Amino acid sequence: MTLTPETILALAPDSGSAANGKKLATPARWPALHTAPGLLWGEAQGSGKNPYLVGVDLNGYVSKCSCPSRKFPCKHALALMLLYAADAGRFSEQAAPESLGKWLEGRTQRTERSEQAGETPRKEADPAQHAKSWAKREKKMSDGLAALELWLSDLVREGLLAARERSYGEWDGQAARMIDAQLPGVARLARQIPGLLHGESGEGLTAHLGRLYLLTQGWHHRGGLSSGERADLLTTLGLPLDKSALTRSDTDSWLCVGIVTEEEGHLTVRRTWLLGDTGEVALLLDFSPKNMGLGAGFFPLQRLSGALGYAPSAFPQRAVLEGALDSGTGTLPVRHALPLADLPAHWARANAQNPWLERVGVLLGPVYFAEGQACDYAGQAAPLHSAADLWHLTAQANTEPAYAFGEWDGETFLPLTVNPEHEAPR
Amino acid sequence: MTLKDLAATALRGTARAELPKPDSSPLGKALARVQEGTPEQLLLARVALAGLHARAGKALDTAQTSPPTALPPATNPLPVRMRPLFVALLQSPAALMTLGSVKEQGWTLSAAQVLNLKEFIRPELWPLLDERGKAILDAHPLHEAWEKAEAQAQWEARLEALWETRAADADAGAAQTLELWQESSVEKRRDLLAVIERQLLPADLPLLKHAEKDRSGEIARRVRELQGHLPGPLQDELLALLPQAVVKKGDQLKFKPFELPEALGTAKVGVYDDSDLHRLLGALPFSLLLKVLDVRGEQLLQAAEKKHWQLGRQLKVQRDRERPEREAKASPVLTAKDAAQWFQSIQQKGQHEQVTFDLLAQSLDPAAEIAAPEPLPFVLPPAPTMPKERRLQWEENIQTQHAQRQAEAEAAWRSLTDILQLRREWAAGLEAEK
Repeated sequence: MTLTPETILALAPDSGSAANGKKLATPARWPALHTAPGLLWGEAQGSGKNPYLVGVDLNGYVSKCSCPSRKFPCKHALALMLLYAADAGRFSEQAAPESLGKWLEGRTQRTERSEQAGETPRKEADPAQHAKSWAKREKKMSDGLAALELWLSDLVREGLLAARERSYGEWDGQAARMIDAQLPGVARLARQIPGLLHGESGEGLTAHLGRLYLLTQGWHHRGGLSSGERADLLTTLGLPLDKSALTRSDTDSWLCVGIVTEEEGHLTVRRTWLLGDTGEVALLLDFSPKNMGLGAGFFPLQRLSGALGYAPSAFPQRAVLEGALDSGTGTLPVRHALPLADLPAHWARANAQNPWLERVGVLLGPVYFAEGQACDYAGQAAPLHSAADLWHLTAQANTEPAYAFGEWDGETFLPLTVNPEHEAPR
Repeated sequence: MTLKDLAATALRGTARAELPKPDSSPLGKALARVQEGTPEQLLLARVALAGLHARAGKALDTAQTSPPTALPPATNPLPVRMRPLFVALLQSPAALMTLGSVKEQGWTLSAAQVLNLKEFIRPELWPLLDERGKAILDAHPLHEAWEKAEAQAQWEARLEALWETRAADADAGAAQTLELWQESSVEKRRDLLAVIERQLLPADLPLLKHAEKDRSGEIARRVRELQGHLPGPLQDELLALLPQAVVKKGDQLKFKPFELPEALGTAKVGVYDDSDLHRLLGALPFSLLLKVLDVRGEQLLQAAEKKHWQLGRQLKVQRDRERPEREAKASPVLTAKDAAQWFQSIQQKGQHEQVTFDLLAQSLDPAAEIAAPEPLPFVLPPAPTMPKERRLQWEENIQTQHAQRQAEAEAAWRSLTDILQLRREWAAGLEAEK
């Protein structure tokens, strides 16, 4: 990763840290700014008598700071990197203080150990042990889903109007039981119920409960599912991605076409969308605890080359990219664009393959943007997501027909990258 | 049977409501094929299918707005090599000169380029937008801000012209002022009143009489007071009243009760900047007050301030208004020596005025060599009297302060030289684009 203000601020755990980091990136606040082999370090003057000692490992941009913040990287580490990006000449070479030296040494040793572990062939998991563990988990999940089915039946027998009177603790308790049953995906869906309780028609809540019921039935009939369908079911239930089951994509050439970062409970989630040279869409997911940065990411329209593997699914979308190399920048390839009129059929096909799909990434065009809508030139429109910034969208389209890559969730379209027609190659 | 129908049953509960019967629509037929055990299971299974159908089968809406009018692309956009410099200079004190330079070159900006400036968007960017940009951002707050700024600039130019007319021809100037007064909003009438207060003409009397009943109480009061500034019966009456209201006893001035003439209206009770005394003293020229009372300006100001802080402030404003306008001096030509002196003031006293920095950044020759300030040696000043236990802390604080000041001076030097570097690169870019 090249240190630029954009890539540095992308490391920030939240916008507040980014803003504070920028404010602190003035030399006046840094009595000491130095480099040492593989390290940036400095002293940041705070309000106290003694400045904070800040270090950034240039291998991975991991930071250490003596300030009391629990965020990583903290505002001091961000400011240190910003100062370096602005003018590396300000930093003089000087050996790091002992505490930073030891920290860096420890990191280097841990990195070497994990690389050696990667090179050493993994001991093959004992199949019998694996089967035993899986059987134990399966039992817990079965019991959990059986209890969920009973709970759902009770809800609709009593009536959802009565359910509105229940306390938040009851819904949270149900989510906690799903966690105990090793069904974190179901717990996540259960936590969404309070937000749907008071819809006037009750359709949203009813449909949501229907999705939960579908999970219980999917589990009952899992033996009859295809491998992709089963994988989607297990993903929705909350099982982690099995990296050994990835299917390698044919193409190694990708374009980053959109990034979304959101808070989800105690986690920060980053969705990075890639578009392959042959038009396939891939979704990279990164997670981190709320106060920690997500690590270096990509930027929109960055060209990448690397081996990409799709997670098993009936509608392959989620993927893992290994060894990504920066190959410059690009523009949205118009030849892979879907006309807006075809979006509903595309979404229906995707849902038929994976009924728990939350969103698809799609390149649409030609379109223009208006208040609350992305429209085609035949008079049809898709509602825009509330987070869509209409001024920026219309400015990027620049009165021309535009091509937009974004997320479609069945209700709204969130454009992430827009190119006007003349910029988009065919 | 739709999701809505199923939801209605779910809301009431299967213990109280029958499940709706599937209809003959394709969805209805699919739902009819779903057969589960208990009514609850049946409802949930059908809801799962109907919900999926609703989610996956949503049709597109109708576009509510026509496509934008296709406009021709920009013919003279800001050159690519100049863009990063432009963005950097726009965030510096050299912003206005940079904008002027772009305007001179006839370069234009796109809407996306302007929006990407984020917190550095300013009204002066509007005229630099290309045709497409102006169409796209027509309803953007930037356009309104520009129109307001333009209108204000035009108004100020009009006031300037009025001032010159009043100076050249009193009658014509007074007549023009009255005409403008009658068509102006209350804000603009305040601006006109400020012109009249600085340049009061006998020919302004009709306007002052006309404005006595202005809807703004503040304007009404000021025009009444201004009538006392013109020689005439009102001024005579006030001058006769003054010694009764302000009594000199040795070096002291005492304020005594008096009856305010009707012509000055009625002071508002409980308002901090209004009283009979405010009105009486406000209704006479400052110089005349001093002459009649036979006091020095400072003496009167101090006595007024002692009486009420706002009365003192009012008299200061009156005094300053009567001072001759200073000739607008041409901005001094600043040199590296001025910069060095400024760095030194930071190092010694910690004085880091943004105004001085902005002036240096704008007016220094960009090719000037600005030497970095050498850190000053630390000298412990004489310690004030204090307990011994605090002495060490005081010394540490002084040392820290000294170190901070040296660092701030160095930071100021870096910031200044950075801006001069940007200005050099900008100038070189302009040359290269010729």
